[in-house]
Amino acid sequence: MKEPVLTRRGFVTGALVTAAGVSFTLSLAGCKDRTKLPDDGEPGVELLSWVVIHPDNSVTLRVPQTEIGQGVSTTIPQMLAEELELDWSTLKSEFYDPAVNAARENVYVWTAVLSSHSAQTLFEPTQRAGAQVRTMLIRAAASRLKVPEVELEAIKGSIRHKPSGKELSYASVAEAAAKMPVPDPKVVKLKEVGDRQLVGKPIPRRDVDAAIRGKIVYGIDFELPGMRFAAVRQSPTFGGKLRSVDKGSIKGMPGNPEVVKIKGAKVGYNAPVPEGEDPDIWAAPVTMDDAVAVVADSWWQAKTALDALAIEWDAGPHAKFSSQEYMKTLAKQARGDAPVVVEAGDARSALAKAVKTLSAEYSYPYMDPAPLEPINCSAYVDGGEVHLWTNSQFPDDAWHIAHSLCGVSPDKAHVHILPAGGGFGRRLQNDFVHQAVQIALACKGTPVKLLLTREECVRKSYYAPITAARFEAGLDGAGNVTVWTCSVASGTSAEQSYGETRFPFQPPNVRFAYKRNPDSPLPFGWMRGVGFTQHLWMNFGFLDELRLLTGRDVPEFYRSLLDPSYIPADLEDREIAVARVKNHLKLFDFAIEKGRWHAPKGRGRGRGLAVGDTSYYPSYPSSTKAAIVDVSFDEKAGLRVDHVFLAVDAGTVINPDIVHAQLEGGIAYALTTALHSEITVENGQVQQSNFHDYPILKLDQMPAVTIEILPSTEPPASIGEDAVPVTIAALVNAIADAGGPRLRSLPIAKILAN
Amino acid sequence: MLEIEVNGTKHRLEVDPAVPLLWVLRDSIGLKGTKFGCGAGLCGACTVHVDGAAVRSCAYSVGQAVGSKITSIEGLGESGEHPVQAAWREAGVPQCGYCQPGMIMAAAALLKNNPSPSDDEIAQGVTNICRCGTYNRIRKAIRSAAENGRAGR
Ligand code: FES
Ligand code: FES
Repeated sequence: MKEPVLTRRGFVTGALVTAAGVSFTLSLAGCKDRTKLPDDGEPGVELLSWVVIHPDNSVTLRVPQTEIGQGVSTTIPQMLAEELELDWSTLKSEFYDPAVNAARENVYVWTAVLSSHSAQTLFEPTQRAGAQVRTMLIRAAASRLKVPEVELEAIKGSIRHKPSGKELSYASVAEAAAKMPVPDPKVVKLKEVGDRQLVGKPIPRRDVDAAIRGKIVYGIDFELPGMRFAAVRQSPTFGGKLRSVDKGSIKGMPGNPEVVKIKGAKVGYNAPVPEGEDPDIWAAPVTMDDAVAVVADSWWQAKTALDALAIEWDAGPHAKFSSQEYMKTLAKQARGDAPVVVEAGDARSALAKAVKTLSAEYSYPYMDPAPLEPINCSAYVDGGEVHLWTNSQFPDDAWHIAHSLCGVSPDKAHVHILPAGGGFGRRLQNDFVHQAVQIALACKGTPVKLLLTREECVRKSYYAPITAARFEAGLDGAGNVTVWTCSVASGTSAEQSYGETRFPFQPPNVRFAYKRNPDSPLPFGWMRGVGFTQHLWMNFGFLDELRLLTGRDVPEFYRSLLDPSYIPADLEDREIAVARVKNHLKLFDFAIEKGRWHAPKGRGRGRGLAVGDTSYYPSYPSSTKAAIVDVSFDEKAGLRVDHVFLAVDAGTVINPDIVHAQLEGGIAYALTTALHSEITVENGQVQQSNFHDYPILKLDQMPAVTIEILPSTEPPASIGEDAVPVTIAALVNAIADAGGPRLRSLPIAKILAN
Repeated sequence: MLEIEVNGTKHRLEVDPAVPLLWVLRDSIGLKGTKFGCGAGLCGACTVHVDGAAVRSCAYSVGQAVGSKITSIEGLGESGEHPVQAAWREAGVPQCGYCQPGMIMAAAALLKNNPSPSDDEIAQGVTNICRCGTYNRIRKAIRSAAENGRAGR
């Protein structure tokens, strides 16, 4: 069985090219094993990997992503069902099976919950799959009724013969449909935008009722008869080793506790890596330290015994590591000669010629994405098979870990996906899968559930990288930015130079330098908004510092930078850059008007503005967003965030209510990030442990929010992460505007308190 | 051996009285709607009612709960018909949903004591964490549950 293959082209260009890819994958799926029982044993006929029609005419749709709150259990069925003509109220869904995805050569196209990709990448393939299945059902009905296809139409789970009014249920023709040739996905006809019944509608999430009754079975809730429970302590330092563990210290404690040593390992990478790409650049290696698990009859017993267990660690090479000291090292690197990654014009002489110049240093601390459901995973190994029950954001990789670690053939590894209580990037690193499988291997024949305490989650996470940046820029006599340079140094990280280089503004002379330190002790993790979250606010903060030197007004200054004539004539990919600034300008003007930028603000109030996209490189399609943040600031009363306005152009919106929810949530996430989040390390150990010292925004700090979606019929673009970078960027400038300090580091609450 | 009453049913359990109520509810009784988020009384995901008052069950031993009436999310409104749940459904509050049972229990207790809370009272009364940031919808749902005047019967 082959691993799923992702082409760079498919990744890069998203929906359009992926649609072409689908004709290949779907027809491939078409020749193999097309009719099979659904995994849950409920009888039915599978059509094209996406749809299962049951004898009672109910329909199960496959969701090729883990539900982590982003709403895919609703939005992906909306996309699939649009062309399928189903009765929405009888629809069921299930998560995809990574083994099937691999066997069918990535038939599900994009299965990692990463890069806010679900709508962007799956819109075209799911609609086309829906249309293909509908066509096959109609063909089967036509041959059953011996009538021409054109006399038939699909309505709410039935095929109707228009002249006679006769109806056949989908279920009655499903077997025959499965034997029909698979229509070319490029040829099937899709609905006109105006005829859509589901896409674009604010349909309530399918899981609301279960959520408010406490009935969703998350990873942490999964249980099997005879299950045992594991509590885990990992090496308190990064790169530390287990020296010894005294099993006698917990002898006789309740719950029959037993000790399992977990060996540190390189688990894999935290993102699918396209063929031919360097994984160390595209993603980051997921490393995991030695750990000790105690397995007992209940988790509380396991945890209690683990607390009593005498463990000795060898602190390893980073025993003295201090994040505060390390920040100084990074700042020095940023000031020094970090490798230049993008250069245009002649920054050096432009700086020499500038009428005014300015430089400033910015920084970003380590952070933990901290989803609310603590890290967990269930596993069962027996008789040459391995089962996993997990809410990993990267289930294909979890499946790979399961079969390779157990040494069983890939089809003997079964991954059952469960919903997650948030993810925000943390669950892309499958360390917990590796640990759970190691424990299950030691407890063969017994299902085990690993669950970490919050303290363990905070102290051994995968962190947004610590970063230092040094900016220097120059202005001409008219207050135009003639030169912009930025030099960045960061801890272990995937390649994130886009954070500095992919600023939409294009001064004629630029120089960007970027140094990663791949061997710094803390492992890197994706965190909502990734490199843009780390950098956009720095870019806008420094730009605002420059603007203040010119005395120019905010909208006028930004508009001049977004003017296509400002883009150097000889810029590589200039057309793409021009289209990009035009998108930004359109949204910017929309935001200024809808977000009432010019409305009066009272004393002690400040307003900040930012616009941006998440286009990682020139051809990368992205939504565009703008934020306007209003704050009150007073030396004594401190800071209050009063209002956040967000405008977004994300192309076709699948479900406006879910888009609103994601953006509202993204604003809250941004405020936590900016105001509160900081992981520090002393003596090699993380200093924070729980929500008292790693606080999350609460209701009393949540500002009023207004969201405007720019109407569009373009293909869908990202949403899930998008509110975060622009909100932080607008916030820091609002604070300065209100008479507060110029913030060049985070977290803001700590800085204001000192 | 101790006995606790949860959602109107008495349970006799062989359990150490020092075990947090949270784990007894989840693992001994099998009521998984009450969630674990921090284990330190900081996030509210584990909120239940003990004699009508909101309690963070991860920081409350089962021994303390003996003799009290405990209500978990499963007992608040069996089919989700409690006015707070109805308001939550109407406002489409949940994202990942993980904090929501605790939020709903906190809101129901707040409204029982104070049927028409001001925004400040809502902010002071609901101090649970929602990492997905559903706060504005929570506020809206509490207001509408209060307005409907049906809460806190
Ligand atoms: S789990 Fe009890 S307050 Fe967080
Ligand atoms: S809905 Fe996810 S934590 Fe609140």
